[in-house]
Amino acid sequence: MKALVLNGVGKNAQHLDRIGDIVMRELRSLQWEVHDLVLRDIEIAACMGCFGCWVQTPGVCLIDDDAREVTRKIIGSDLVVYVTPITFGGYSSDLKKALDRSIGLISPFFTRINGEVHHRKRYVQAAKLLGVGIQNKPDEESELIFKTLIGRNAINMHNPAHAACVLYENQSDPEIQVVLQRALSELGVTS
Amino acid sequence: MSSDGKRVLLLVGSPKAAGESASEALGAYVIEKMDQRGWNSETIFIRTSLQSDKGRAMLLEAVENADLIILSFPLYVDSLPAPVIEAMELIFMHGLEKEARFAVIANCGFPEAQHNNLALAICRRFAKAAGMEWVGGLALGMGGALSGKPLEDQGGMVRSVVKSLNLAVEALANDESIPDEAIGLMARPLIPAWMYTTIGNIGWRRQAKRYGTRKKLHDRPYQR
Repeated sequence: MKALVLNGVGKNAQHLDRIGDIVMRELRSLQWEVHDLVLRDIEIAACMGCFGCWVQTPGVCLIDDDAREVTRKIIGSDLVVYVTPITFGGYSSDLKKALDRSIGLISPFFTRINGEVHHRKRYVQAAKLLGVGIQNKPDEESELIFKTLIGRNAINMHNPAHAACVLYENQSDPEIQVVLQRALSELGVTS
Repeated sequence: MSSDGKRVLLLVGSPKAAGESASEALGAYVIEKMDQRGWNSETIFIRTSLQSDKGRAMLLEAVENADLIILSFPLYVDSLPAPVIEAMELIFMHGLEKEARFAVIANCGFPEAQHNNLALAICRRFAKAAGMEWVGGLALGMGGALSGKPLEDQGGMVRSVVKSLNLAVEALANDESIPDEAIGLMARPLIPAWMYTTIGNIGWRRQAKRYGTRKKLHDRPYQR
């Protein structure tokens, strides 16, 4: 089974990379094949909002940079993990840049899900989604926004299962492992 | 009420070029009305401003000088477009000396305005973190039905949008928060949802036809 870890930690918070490392260690301990992308280190332009990935070159963004490979890896994985500092409740700009560029993974056409309009699937099977949000201290409001955002993304991107957990900068490695193991178990990610 | 030369800053969060986005059309309507009330206005396109050190410095200076900041943006993947988040990170890191008031106008391509709720919550959280006063957010569904043209030129379909913005301007110009009535009017569907999705689905096919990709619309180029 393949997992992709999208590290959305920005250049001003690189000490948080250790959390991405722990995520990868946990997955490898479950015998998963793990790839990681440190998004701040690769070239991803901001989405232009042109919908070219829907109508001009369906499924492929018009901008030819590293985001195409990120998108290919997302749909080629069984699990995608977003590792991000919780930024006003949402994702860091580094992570969001990659996600904005990945909408070619879904169809432009509308459908209804739970009474709401969303976009249809493009691919038969998307990956499971795990959101790992990092805070420097507990903040209930931001954590709730983050967890809800992961759930909303899972609906829109057709992830068959999702989970979200929040970690704190000052937690020890074993404490972090416990939280991650719980989240992975919730997703049915086992060896 | 006198504006006393107060400054209002419009931040356009759409990455589209000037004159092409619904976000700009919505924000520009507000700015025009504030201008008429004697406010000094400035408009900054976030994506462009982030492309250079000079642009970033100008963005920060404009934010520091503003009494009222209005952010108008399209919903991208349940949240704000990446450049808008980047601008928020920049403003937060920089820190602000005075407490500006902060209002937002969100629009999404889905018929239901409620898709914008999380993005508004993120904006509210940003305002708190950056030391701004949150004065409310308007959320619009069916943003795909709007163009970048001035709202006055977009016909009767935007009647409730205009009413909403007029109420919002009245409140913001008087240092009040956006009233619930304005929020309700903005969330009102522009046309029936079934009509919007039908027209939308036809529109995708029509655009694809122009590019000769009609038979490729369901392609899976990255299928493993």
